[in-house]
Amino acid sequence: MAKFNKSQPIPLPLQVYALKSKYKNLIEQCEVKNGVLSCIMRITPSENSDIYRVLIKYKISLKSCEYYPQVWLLDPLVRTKEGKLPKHIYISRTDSSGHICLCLFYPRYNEWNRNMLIADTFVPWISAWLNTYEYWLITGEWHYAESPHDRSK
Amino acid sequence: MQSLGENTAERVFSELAKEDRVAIENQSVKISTLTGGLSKSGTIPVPKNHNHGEI
Repeated sequence: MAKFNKSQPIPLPLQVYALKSKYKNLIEQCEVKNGVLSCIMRITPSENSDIYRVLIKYKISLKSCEYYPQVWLLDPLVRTKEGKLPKHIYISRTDSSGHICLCLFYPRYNEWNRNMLIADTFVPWISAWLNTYEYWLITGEWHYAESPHDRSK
Repeated sequence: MQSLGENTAERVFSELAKEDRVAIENQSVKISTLTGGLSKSGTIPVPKNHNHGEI
């Protein structure tokens, strides 16, 4: 893989190329349209899991909430455990169809930047989130590294 | 009210979840490009991260 100038974000077409070349069996749709990367994938987080359809959206922007990719769970819809949603979601970004936006990393820990490939970061994080979520549905406990929550975000 | 069986299942799955987390951290499981799932035969490691949230 070519090296990039760290001051420049990885171009969206290259992000799409990496997603398509690494996960060609899982991608339903992946394109850049009007400056926005949009990718729908089918992920089976473990051997006995359901198949989950997720939407990754990303545009190179300086707005804080658009600075990094965002991921919605399209199907099946997020389930509750004893009436509660999993805590690692952005409830305010739920779309009109009830698709929940997943909280995959903590921006203040600098775990992601625009010089990283979505294919090597967000896709593994989605799988780990879904795996953890399936355990949470049974146990009610979130067995994964967590960051402090901030209601103002 | 939970039954004894439910408690046992929760304990067992909690242990499995912890094992998965350790396996992710030490990269004995990685992401399979065929399923997108965690697998011993996977090729893409899970970079260190923390799940965040607002609720």
